[in-house]
Amino acid sequence: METELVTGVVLDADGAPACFTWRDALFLTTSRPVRWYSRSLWWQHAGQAHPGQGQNLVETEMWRLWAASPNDRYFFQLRHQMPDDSWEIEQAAP
Amino acid sequence: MSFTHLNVSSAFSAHYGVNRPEQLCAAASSMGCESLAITDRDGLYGAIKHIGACISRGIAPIVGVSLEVTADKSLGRVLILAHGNNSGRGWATLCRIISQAQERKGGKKDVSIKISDLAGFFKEETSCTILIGLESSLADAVLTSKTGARDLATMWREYFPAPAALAIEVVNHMTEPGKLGSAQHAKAMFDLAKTVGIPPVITNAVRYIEPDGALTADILDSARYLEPLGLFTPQPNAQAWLKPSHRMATLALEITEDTNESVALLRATELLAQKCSLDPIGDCGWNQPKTPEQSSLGVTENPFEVLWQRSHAAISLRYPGIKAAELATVQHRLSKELIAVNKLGFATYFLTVADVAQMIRDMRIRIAARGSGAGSLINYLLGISSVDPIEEGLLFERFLSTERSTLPDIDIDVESARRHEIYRAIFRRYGGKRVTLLSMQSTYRGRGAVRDGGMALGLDDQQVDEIAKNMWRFSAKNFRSEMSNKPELADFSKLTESDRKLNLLVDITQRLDRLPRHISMHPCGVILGNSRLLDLTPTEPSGMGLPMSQFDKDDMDPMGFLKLDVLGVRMQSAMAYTIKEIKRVKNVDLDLDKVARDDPAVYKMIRTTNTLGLFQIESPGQRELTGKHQPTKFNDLTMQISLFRPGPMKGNMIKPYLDGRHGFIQPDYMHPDLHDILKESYGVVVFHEQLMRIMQVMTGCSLARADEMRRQLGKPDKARIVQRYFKKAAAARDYTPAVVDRVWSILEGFGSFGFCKAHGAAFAVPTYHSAWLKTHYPTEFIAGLLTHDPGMYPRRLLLAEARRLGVQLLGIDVNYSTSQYVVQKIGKELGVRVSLGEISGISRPEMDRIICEQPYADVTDFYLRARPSRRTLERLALVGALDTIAGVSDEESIHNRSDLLVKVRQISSKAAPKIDKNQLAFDLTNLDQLPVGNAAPTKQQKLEAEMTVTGMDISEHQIQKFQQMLEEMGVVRASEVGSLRSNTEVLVAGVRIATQTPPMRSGKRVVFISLDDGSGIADATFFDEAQRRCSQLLFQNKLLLISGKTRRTGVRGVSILAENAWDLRQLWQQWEKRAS
Repeated sequence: METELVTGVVLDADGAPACFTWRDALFLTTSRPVRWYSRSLWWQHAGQAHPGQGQNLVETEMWRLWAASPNDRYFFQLRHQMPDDSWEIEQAAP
Repeated sequence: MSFTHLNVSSAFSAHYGVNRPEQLCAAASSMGCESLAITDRDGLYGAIKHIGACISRGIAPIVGVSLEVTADKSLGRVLILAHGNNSGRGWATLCRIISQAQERKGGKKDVSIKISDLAGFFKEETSCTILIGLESSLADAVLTSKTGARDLATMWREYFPAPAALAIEVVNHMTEPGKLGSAQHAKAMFDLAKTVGIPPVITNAVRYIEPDGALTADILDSARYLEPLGLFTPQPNAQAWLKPSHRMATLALEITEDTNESVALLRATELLAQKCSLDPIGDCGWNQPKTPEQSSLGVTENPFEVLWQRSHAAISLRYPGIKAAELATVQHRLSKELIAVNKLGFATYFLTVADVAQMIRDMRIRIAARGSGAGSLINYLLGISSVDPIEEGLLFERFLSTERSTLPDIDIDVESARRHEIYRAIFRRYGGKRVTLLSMQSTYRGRGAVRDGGMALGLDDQQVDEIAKNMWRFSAKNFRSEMSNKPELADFSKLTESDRKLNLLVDITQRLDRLPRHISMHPCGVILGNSRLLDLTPTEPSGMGLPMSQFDKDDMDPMGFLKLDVLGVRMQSAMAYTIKEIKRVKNVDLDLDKVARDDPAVYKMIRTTNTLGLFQIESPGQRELTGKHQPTKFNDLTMQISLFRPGPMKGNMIKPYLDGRHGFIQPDYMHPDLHDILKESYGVVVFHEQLMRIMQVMTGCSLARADEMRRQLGKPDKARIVQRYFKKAAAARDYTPAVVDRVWSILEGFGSFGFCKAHGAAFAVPTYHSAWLKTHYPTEFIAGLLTHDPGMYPRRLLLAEARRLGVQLLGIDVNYSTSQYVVQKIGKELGVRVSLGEISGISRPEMDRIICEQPYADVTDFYLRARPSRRTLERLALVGALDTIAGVSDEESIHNRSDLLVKVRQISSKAAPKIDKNQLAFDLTNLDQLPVGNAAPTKQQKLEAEMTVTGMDISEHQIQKFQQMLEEMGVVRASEVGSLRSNTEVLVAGVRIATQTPPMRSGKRVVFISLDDGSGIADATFFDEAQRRCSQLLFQNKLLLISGKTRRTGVRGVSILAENAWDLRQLWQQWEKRAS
């Protein structure tokens, strides 16, 4: 399955997404976002592990939040992928 | 308010923590922490390093341990932190809890403590706090059952009712909400703590300084579980790092969701941190020397008076018939030493070491002092050392200085085979409460790191093995850079370009570099303390069963422990065995210590450079140096041993010394006042002792002060102070600026290069002893060497040396061989009988049975009474060990060894002998006739059987087989290389017996290969270009042909500058093909 991205993410002072664009609609965060860190199985894909690369290989920042567009309100689980700084949708449910 | 981390695993939590205590401490102090804990798993392995680092950073040390606690079932791991500033009661309790948890349970290693036993340590006083956190069963219970969790917490409370005894540790690792280590989970722990009335504290359960370390932690987890990554549940993320105070405050707020509560939580944590801050001196006896109480030495009077009397009384023993003038010198020196010892309060220490030395001698075990201790006249008089420091020009101040207060090291060499016996005797003599063994931490080096890294990635064992084999002497840290330098890694380097996992392996290997892997018994250290020793160090069972301290040698000085190095030296065992054989065979009582050290025959033998089997001077480099140096007296041995050390070699001292000695250059003593000091080394400053005396003569300072300055020369900022002092004081004593500058330029660079003469002189004694035995009792000495195998070479080389010396080698024979190499009479001649132990796979009980039931009438008799396994029986037959009893040893016999083998296979195809020997004997006698008509094995087949079964060529040298080809090729014998002119093209062939890649001044690698061809040893040197041609052969092939040019290096020294090398077997196959 293609991973879907959200774009134009604007962060608040804590690094939490305050608003972003998904499927051409602008979403504003409406709940207190919860940050957690999941881990990745780096040994399955990494080709190197230089000093300094460890954190991004081992863990990924995850966010759980409710956000609303003018038409919809969704629960999102977002994956903040480093080092390319992209935001993947892991789960989006109304 | 700064935050204190109370839960920190250092790298000394083997296969768990990522950073060393010093690194953790530096990181904590740079982020403004005022105190820091270390809480390693199962022990205090890193605690002393942690305390030392805290002291130097000016932060308060906290020490605890992570231990598994059990009730009916496991309660998981908890932390136990020692309270501080209570005269060491917290520290002592912690030590004793750990020692108890480390005790074997039902003979098995299982580090854990029963909750009831743990509670026992809290009965009288609460001197520790238990932290129940993430790794406890309580943390799991909180997720599954609220009431279950409450019951568990209540149980803890009932076992530990005192308010300060317990705390609940809340940890927010920001894992997936609801899971272990999430904010919600931390909140549940926090709420539970409040409900049951156990104070909560917050930690981050730290495993690494930076999040980057999490990747290393993954690999360590794999090594701990012995499973590749992916086959176990890994850590949840990379959050277990040493977070700064503000982050910890944020985490606290996220847990409590209330500002006041989060402040209270942080404050409770700080309060506990304060309670647990240790006073290194008051709590751990930091830097306070501790020696056995004099009562345990059997001394009732003032120990200094006893030392004074004993050493004075010994003068007449050590210096019989001494003249008045010399006596005055001895007494003056002794008084000076005694004054220093008294001032430092070390009399008990000397009496202790003397007591141990005497005890060892009473056990009739050979003993020799090593190290700077040989510089002390007291040590010589008390029989601790056997070198006369006055005669050899050794200085007491190098050994013991009134400027330092740490206990000096006295190292004792004993027979390796009896080392454990000595340890047990020391435990008996001083009592288990005053003695423990010393431990050491082995750390990841190249090979181990690549193996564990490969395992973590799930790589094929054989592939990883192949890579590991080509990792020669470099640390894992430099793996990637070495890949482009080392020809033997070129193939691997190429593979990493296309193979993702192999490339990853390189980075992973580098990450493991120097991390502790496991603790083991130090090869020679014994800690002798006072009766409080077990309050100061935790212990665990060692491999030999005796308790071993969890501290290593670097922890001894800070803890003020007296460490006695009782080093097992195989050479001492070999010499003891030789002496025993001389007594048995020749009925001569030999006391090596009474042998004069100026026997010309001994030096003559050494000068031939056939130094194989001689202590300290048998390595290829020493052999080459022997050729150039040509020693003629005892001090020459001291010089030679000292010069061939990393320091003097890096300091380039050997060449000017040799040039001066052989009269190629006029020695430069720089100033007439220095002539006496530098005479022995032809103007080269080699020894610490020489530098100290130069300082003394030119500046008028004391020798103790001179030694202090010598130690400071290595540190640039301190060296400048020494320079100013030296120049000023020397000028004041009327030395001209030119002389002062010249001398200083030598002293300045000397710092790390010099060598302590006392070390060299102490080593020279067994060197001389071994040379004396080899000269006068070669047969017995070879038997000793073969039995105890003291050297660096494969044992088969000793057989070659025996043949070269004309010592008869007697093959393995079940009627005559024992578990050792025994000197036996064959007719009038003496020979050395090869040991049964050389048969591969033979077991100790098998050997014991064979020896016990000797002699045997025939093969059946042997089979029935000695009951060897079928495999052993066949192997014995293969190497001819049954020839005599089978009557096939003689050429005229109608049977031969092949007939015997047929019979042996018949016998062993039957079931193994059972209890009913008579019935079986009857069955077997039917087979008692040997078959006939099998082709007798050739010499070559016999030799190959020996090589397979024993790994050695016993009947003749394995090079013999190639002789015809080698002669055709014009290959030169090793013994003839020495007589060739320099720059002659040569070919040499032989068995590779040593490969060395010593560090070079240039940084480029040089490979030294030694070949043995039965006539002697040829040494070849491979530089860069030659290495590129054949480097894989150099590390892997046993039989080599080397081409190159001779290079004369001294009177007897010739080495070969190698150009190329070939596999001798391959050449042989080609040659045979062509011949046929």
